Amino acid sequence: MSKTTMRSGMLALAAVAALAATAAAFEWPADAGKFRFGFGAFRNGFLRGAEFGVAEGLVRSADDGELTFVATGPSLPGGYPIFGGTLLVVSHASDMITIYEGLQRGPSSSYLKNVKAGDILGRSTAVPNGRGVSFYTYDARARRFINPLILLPRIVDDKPPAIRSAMLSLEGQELVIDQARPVRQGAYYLLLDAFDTTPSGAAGAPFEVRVLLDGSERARVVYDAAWAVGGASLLFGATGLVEDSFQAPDGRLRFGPFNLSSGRVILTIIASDYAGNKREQTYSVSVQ
Amino acid sequence: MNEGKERRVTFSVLGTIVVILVYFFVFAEPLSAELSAVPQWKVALGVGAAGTASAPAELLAFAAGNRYGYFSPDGELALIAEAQTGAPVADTSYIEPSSAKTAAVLRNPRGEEITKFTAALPFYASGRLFSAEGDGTALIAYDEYGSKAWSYSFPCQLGAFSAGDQLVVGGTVDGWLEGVDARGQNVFSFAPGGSRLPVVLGVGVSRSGNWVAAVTGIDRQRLIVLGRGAHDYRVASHRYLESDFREPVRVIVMEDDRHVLYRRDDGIGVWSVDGSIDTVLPVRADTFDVALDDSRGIAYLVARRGRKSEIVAFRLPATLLGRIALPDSSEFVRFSGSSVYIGGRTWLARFDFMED
Repeated sequence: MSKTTMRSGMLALAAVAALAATAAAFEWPADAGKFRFGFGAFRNGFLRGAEFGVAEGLVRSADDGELTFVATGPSLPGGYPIFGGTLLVVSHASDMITIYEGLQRGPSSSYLKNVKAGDILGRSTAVPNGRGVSFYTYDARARRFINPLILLPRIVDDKPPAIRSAMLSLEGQELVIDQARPVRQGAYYLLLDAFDTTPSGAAGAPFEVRVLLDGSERARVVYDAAWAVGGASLLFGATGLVEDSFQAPDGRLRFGPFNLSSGRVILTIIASDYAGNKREQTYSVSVQ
Repeated sequence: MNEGKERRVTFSVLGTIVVILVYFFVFAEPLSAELSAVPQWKVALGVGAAGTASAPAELLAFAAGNRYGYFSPDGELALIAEAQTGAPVADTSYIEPSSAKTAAVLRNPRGEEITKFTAALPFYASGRLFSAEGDGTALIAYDEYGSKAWSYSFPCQLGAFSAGDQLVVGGTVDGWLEGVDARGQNVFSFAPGGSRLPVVLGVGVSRSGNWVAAVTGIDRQRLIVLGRGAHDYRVASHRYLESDFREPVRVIVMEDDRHVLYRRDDGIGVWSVDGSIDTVLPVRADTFDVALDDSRGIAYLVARRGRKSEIVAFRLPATLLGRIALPDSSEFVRFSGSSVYIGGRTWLARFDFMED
């Protein structure tokens, strides 16, 4: 990783920390925070915000601000489709922007220009693709999506994330990590299916994942930010991983490659959620 | 005393007559021939109508409401189908709606399958096939066979989009313009600035890719034109606007690579890429499309406002020649030279503009 990337990653972390210090200045826009999918969930790609599945629920402004853009209909004038049929943008102080997709605007909300926290922006609708209302928090100064959990009131959560499966991948071949079956030496990718149960009971993304080999941390991702530069989608403030290289087409997380040399290797995976609940899973891999 | 007064009046009258005569003889302009719309044909659309039309190369795509299909310039129907929410359609191919959320079937105008491919929200722009991805922040471009050509992620949601033959430009809701070339490479990223709140409300790209026009910002709103230089795109002209739009704004760079049309509160603004023309076409419209008939130097505009739409013929930059109100059921309008095809969910018609 280049020094520039590291430096920008550290700056991003500092920015996120600063934002977190002013957290709860934002309010949950719908369903009292019982979102269906959160930041990082696999929704045919990395979800950069939170998705609410509520039908006929009210959607409110997350903070005081000014409405800068409202588009309704199937597409923008140039043909680009509008996800959920509505795109609404509110500009807040400190260069923060909140973005709402998929809500239905009512006559009482169509005249709004300046909004107060809690003002009704519209209603959620049951849309054909079943996504409901999507909500994004975007730092316009850093040009990054920020995980809404960092900026919104905390939600009570005592359930740790779960690790559904862990596979090793070498030259396109996937191997179940079977403690009894040895693997040959090589540079392996770890394909991980880990999730955290969201407030509405769906399988969402954890907040942090660490991978340790023989007790030494070899990879760590924090689901704090997502952005794009020069057409490439990048994830996680401190690391700047390319989305396509991190998230497999089926949504599993890809770590590595890790060189496994002969002997016994202890692979530890630690997944945490934003509330601090942890799930740790350890595998002993015999390498020949 | 009286004699002098009479002489002054006489000179004034004579002077006025001379000025009028000079105006008519020296600055005379020929009157344009009268433009009339001559109906050619009208057909009823029945789902499943097919078969008699000519070679696919001559077929024109059609979409209105939930119906779509193909017809020939002389009014023969090739394919008419319907789907719950319509279907993306272009002259060369169309996307058959699929029950699977991400699977799309690409078919030619005869209805034959070209390929199946994965796409979140496929659409056509300037005849090119794309898909919107990443919650409205990304774009995939496909070739004519439905194979992925490239993908591009924008930093945040797009509020404006336009495609030419060689250039695609996305305008983001945080106020940046990003240009992507035919290989999917970034060719420019530009923040117009100059307004209290940054946002891109509308963008238009010339078919040639030489010019990009955009309406940006809030308080004050701006029209900005970028021109292609040797290595990058630079500001060619700009002006501040009186408008306070907070919704998509239609912006078009016309095919003459010179004139820009953009939505204004008081009509449709006409601007030249170099800033030398700044006038208004007195046509109020929420959105519009335009086509240029090069052979006659006449432009045809379809302007939509609420449920009403009309066709306006004008000579550039802003000389109105005539306007025709369209039936409320008109959902489809397409120009080809001086021919206009209009249609609704159950009908399709053609009329030609002719000069008497």
